[in-house]
Amino acid sequence: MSSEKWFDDYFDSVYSYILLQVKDPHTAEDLTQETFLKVFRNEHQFKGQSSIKTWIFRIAYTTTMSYFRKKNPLTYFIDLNMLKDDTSPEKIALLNSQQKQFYEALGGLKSSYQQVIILRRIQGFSTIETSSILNWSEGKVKMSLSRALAAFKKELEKGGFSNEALIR
Amino acid sequence: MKHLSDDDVTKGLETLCQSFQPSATQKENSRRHIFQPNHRKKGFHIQSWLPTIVSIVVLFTIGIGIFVLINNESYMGAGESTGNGALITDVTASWDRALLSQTSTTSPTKFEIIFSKDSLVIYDRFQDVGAAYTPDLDQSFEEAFAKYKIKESPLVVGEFTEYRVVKKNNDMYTIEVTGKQRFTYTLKKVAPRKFVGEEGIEYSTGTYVE
Repeated sequence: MSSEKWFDDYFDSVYSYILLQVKDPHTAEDLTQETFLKVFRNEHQFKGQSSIKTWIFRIAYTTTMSYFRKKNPLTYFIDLNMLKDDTSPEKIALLNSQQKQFYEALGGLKSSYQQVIILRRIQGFSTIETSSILNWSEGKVKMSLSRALAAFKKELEKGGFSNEALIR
Repeated sequence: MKHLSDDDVTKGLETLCQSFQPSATQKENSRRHIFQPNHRKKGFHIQSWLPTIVSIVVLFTIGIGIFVLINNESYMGAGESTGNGALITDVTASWDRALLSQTSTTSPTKFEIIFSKDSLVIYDRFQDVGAAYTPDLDQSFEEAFAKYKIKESPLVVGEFTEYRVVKKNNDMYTIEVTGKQRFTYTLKKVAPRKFVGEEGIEYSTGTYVE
C-alpha cells in the first residue's frame, strides 16, 4: 500500500482523533501532518504485527502526548484534563445542542478516560487495538472504558442531559 | 427520566465525531505540505543549534585558557620533560642579577655566585684570604676530622657565558654550565631565600628567585 493511500484512508480519522483532544483546528492540523511525516519516515519499521491503522494511531497518540508534555508538563504527568480552556469557539458554534453537551462532557473527563472513549467508541478500535495504541494491558483498557463511560454519563446528566434529549 | 444506555452514548459520540472531520481544503493543504519534495528540509531553528553554539563557546573558552596558560609558562620558561615524568623548567631569566652567598662555615670555601644575563661568575673568597691562614694541624686532628669533612664541591671558580638554571620538582635547581668547562651544580631551596648545594654548602640570596 502506498503512502498516499494511507494518507487518503486515515487522514480524516487521525485529524478528528487529535482535534477532539487538542480542541484547536490549527494545532490538530499541524499534529496530523507531523504524524503522517513520521509514518512515512518510519514506514520501513512497520512489521505488520498490527493493522496499519493501529500503527498510525499509535504514532498519532505519541505525537499528541508529546505535544501536551511540552505544552504543560505538570498537568500531563498528573493526568488532568489538559486543555480545558483551549476550546475553539468557532467549532463550538457549529455544534448543535446535543453535540455541544457531549463535547463538553467529554472535555470534562480526565485525559486517560477521554483517550479510551475516543478510541473505543468513536474510532471503533477493539480492546486489543486500543491496548496497542495506548500501550496498556487489555484489562486496563476494559476497566478504564467502563469507568470512563460511567463518568461520561455522569457528566452528561450533571449538565441535565437524558435520553429523551437525544436527536434520533 | 431514563438514564442513557451505552448505545445512546456511542451514537451521540459518533455524531459528535462527524463535526470534527477536516475540510477538503485542510486535507489538500496537508497533502501538499507532506508530499512536496522538499518537505523534509528544515529551516534554521536557534533551538536546534543552541547545544552546538554552547559547545563551540565552551571549547573556545577552554582554548583561550590553554593558550593563556602556555603563554604564561613561556614567560616563566618553557617546560620540558625529564623523561621520567617530571617537568623541568628553564628559570635562567628569573635568576638574572641574583647573588648567592655562602653562609655555612663547614667547608674551606666562601663561594659567591653571581648570575647575570650574559654570564655566570663564581668566586671563592676563601681562596683569596684563606690561603694566608694555614693551620698547623697534626696527623691526629686530620684523622679525627676526616669523617666530618664536607665533600669536595663540584663548583668551578671562574666566569662562564654559556649556562642556564633549570628548576625541577618546585625546589630543586640545577646550574648547567656548557662549553669547555662543563659541569652541573644542584641546589635545593630550603627557604624562600635559602639554598643548600648538593655537597651541603648553604647559601642565601637577597632577592627572591623563581
